[in-house]
Amino acid sequence: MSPGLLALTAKEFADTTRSRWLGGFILAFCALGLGLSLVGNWTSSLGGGGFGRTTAALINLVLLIVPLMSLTAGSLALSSERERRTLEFLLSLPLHRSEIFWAKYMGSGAALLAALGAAFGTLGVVLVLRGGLRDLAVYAGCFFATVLLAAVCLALGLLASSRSRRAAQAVGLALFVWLCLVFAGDLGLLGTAVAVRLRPAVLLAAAWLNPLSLYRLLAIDALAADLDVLGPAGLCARDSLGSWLKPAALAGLLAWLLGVLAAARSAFITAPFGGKA
Amino acid sequence: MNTAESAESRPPRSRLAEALGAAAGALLLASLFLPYWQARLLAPQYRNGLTATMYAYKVTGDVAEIDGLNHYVGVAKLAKLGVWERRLAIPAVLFLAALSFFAFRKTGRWPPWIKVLPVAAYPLIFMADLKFWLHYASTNLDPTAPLKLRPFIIPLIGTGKVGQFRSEVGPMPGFYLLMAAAILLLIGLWLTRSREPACTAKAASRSCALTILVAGILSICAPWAQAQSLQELVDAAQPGAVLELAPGVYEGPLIIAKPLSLMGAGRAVIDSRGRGTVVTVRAPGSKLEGLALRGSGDSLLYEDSGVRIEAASVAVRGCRIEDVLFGAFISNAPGTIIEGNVFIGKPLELGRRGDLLRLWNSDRAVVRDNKLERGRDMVLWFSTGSVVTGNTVTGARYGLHFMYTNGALIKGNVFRHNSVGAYIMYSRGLSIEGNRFEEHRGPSGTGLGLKESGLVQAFGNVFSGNRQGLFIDQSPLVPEDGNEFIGNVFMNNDIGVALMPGVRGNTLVENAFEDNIQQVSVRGGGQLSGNQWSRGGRGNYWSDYAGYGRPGAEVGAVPYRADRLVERLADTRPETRFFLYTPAAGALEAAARAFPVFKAKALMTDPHPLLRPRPAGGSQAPAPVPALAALWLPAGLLSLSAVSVAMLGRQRAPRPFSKRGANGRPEHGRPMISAKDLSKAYAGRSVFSGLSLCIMPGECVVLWGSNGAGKSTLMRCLLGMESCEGRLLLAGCDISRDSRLARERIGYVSQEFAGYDWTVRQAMEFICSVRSVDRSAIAGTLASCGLTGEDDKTVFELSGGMKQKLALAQALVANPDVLLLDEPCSNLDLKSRRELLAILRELRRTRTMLVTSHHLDEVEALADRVLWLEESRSAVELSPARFLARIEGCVQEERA
Repeated sequence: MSPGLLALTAKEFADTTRSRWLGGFILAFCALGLGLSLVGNWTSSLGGGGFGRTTAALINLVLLIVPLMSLTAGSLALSSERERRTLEFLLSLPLHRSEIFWAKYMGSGAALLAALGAAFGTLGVVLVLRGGLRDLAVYAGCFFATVLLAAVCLALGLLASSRSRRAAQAVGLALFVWLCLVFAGDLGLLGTAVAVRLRPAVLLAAAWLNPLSLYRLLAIDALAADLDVLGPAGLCARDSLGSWLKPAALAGLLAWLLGVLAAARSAFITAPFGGKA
Repeated sequence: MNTAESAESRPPRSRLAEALGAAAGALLLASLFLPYWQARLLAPQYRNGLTATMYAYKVTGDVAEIDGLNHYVGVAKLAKLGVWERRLAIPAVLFLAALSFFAFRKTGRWPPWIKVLPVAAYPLIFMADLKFWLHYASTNLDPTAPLKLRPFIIPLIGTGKVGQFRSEVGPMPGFYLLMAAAILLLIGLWLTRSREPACTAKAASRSCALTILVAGILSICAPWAQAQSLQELVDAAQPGAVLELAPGVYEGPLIIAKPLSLMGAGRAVIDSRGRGTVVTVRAPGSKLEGLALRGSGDSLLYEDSGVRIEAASVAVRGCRIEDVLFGAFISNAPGTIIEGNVFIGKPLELGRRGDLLRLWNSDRAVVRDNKLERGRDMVLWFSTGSVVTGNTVTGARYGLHFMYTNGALIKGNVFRHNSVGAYIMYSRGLSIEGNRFEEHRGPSGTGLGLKESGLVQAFGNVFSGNRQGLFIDQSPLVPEDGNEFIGNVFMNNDIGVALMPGVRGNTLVENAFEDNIQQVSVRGGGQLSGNQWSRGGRGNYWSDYAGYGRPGAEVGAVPYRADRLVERLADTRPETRFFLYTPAAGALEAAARAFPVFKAKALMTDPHPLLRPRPAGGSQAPAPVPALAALWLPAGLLSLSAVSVAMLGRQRAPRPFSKRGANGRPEHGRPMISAKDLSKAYAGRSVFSGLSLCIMPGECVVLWGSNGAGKSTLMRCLLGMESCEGRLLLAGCDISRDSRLARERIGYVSQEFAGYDWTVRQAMEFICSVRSVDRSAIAGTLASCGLTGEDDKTVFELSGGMKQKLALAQALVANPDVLLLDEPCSNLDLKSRRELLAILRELRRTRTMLVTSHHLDEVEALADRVLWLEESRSAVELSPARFLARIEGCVQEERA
């Protein structure tokens, strides 16, 4: 790692951790997470475990906030530099464009990791004190799956940012991607499933087209211990993939990560100096 | 001493012993030619019977016929039994004969008894081996044989019965010769015994060895002998006797045909070794207590069981029944008590397992405090008035299955990880209280299922983590047989309660529906009319109830309605359950609520929803205890986050190292910047074309031109930020190939400062880090740029002129060969311009500079040469004097 890359990564980390966006997201995440876990107070007093609405809502919270946070961070990373003309300053330094790209990704990624660590740590402490955290391995697994999801969404944000001339343009694009991933994709698939009676295997295969669906599969597999909570498609996943489900979903997320990163890097390196309107 | 003398000198006893040894050897050799054992099978269709004659090394007689008969019942072919023994027989007998011949001769150091012992043991070894193979052949029957026979025992000596065959088995002359040889040798040993006192110890040791050998043989045969004796013991016992079995393994199967009590104190084992039912009880009032029963057969056809009870009032208590196909098979045995037992099934796939507890037509049975693992069902057929309490069933198909069993009590049981917790079919008048139904998953995963059953009362049960907590199908059959579900807890299930369409006559009140993914469902869609969801002004607790209640009220003021659009969709299209509780489904639900035209019709309505759940009865699990040891993970995450933010969140200190040196320094006399035929166009519009340029070390060239002439574009091309056509070298380095290396030699100042929200020092340190420059250079550089004492000011506190000075300091701190200045003074006031120009004038002496400008004072102050760029024209190179003259000419031309 060159000194320039290291210095720029550290600068990016510092900038992202100071970002009000990130702070707001993490505060909202913690507040909602704590609220949801406190709602389950009576349930835990009966010794009930398992996968309920609270758990589903916590997964949804991750699905809503973490991609939004990561996409926003990624979309601001390059476009705001371009908008403030600091990109010109960076490009005048002895740094390759790819070094600037990786520094942006690693710095923002490390900041997201720290933010998620703080959020999961806070929630975890509360859950432990309330006796609600039964399996640390599952919790750790969820944390790492969330980090992987954040990494994919950060790369998507960088892709949106790599050619945008203005920060608002990049953020708008990132929000559109977020809407597509979180709502439009699933709604479209839901409508198609109802209209043409999609087979469970097709529904399951469609999950690999959306990193959020893959995360959901991973999280439910870890938390519910049985995918039949997802109905016939879940049963299909259990029967057809069995113990391979987790590696397959992880491989899917990694493929998303590498593919999007390669596209974003290529887009940034070949972008004209001033970006694209 | 010669041989004759020595023979004469020996005592007569020794000579006699030698003779006996020789005779024994001869007998052993002779035994090879005679049969050792014979078995005859007698049956009506075989008048003369079938005979198998066993020699030491072969089996002769009607072997083919016997094998043919054996094939039908699954006995292995005779040729396949004792193969190695027959192969070794001739060498072994020859060796034993040699031992016998030399047993009493002084031919070595070995004492006679060592040579005698193997020969004496040979008949016993032969019998034990024969017994083993007879047992093996009759108990390891081929399960695919056309005729199914229960495993049988062929006696070693005497008669037995197998089907319609009678067997007669016994020794033959060859075996008698073996016995005779052994006896002769033992006599010889007696004759040669020493009379000297010194040999007493040796004699004692021999006796001990012999005793150990006999004891070893007996210990091998002991279990068989003991097992054989258990049935005899039972048969011989008086009715009503109490038999307390000593610890040990007894062979099954065992049949108890008279009322008695068999006590094992937990250490007596009856092992059937895979044959049939381990214990069959046919006498009423019998008791089995503290026994371990294991190793039943695995025939579903014969219902091989741990214990089979065929008489009334039998009690089985405190037994461990394992490795069995069926656990307890109770048939026509009213009043049976099964209490405090552990049942563990054979490790078979679910479809091949038997029921660990099956009651057939056995009224008033009591099944209490048992643990059942790895079975198929616990099933009660036609067993009215039975009591099932305190049992734990895991890993089964149906934890409990009632068929036509009325008036029963099911209380305090735990059903966990089965396919279905309890399924009640065609039964009436049941009380189901305080049970826990947990984690029943899979396509049919259900906590409690009811089919065509009525008058069922379920109180205080907990349904947790099931695919569906309660499933009701056509129950009750008639409305008068209404079922009641009161005070139960349904939590964390995929579906709390699922009903088939058309189900009516059920009352569900004061239950708690907590955190189920879907609280209520109708299979295939439809409404749930005809079922009561409240009684006496009290309904159920719903964790997703969004209504309100007056202060102090227990009941909500607004009815609870199960009308979620996506849930209703999942009822009719189960595949859409894949999206249940995704953000998309939530958005759809919100849309349906915002636009009631899309709202689904309510599945059911609870008019009096409870605001607080009624605690479940005695089935409550202890409240979770905080496991403080588990804090390490979240606390670790928090600490790591805090440390990383603290360490990396501030600017990183640069490395105290400068890699800059002579490497790549321009050679004297070679141009620092060389450009040839440069062309640049944006979207077809030419910015400059055919531009050539050569700047020697220490030279300062000013690029002059109006706005849009391409000055800044040329700067960016020199920095490698933008590509252009032509050849562009900086200190001999091709910028198009390695712009990074070129930028290491360049310091750049743009016309407007662009920086981060840092202090002056942080801004300088960042540049030092990127360029690997020692930070000790910062102070001098700031001083040379007139920024002494400004270290701690933030960038945004600086004036425009100060910012440009900072930009210049950043460009200079790495001591670059070339300075590229893009209109450095254009946005500054007069004072700042003068200050900055003064600094640049000083730098001009030591640097190669390329400055863009459209201010004459900058040209006058800095330029060695001027390169005049005009839009869409070729560049013109001028000396400062000619440049000023040309400018003056232009001005006069304009005035004129």
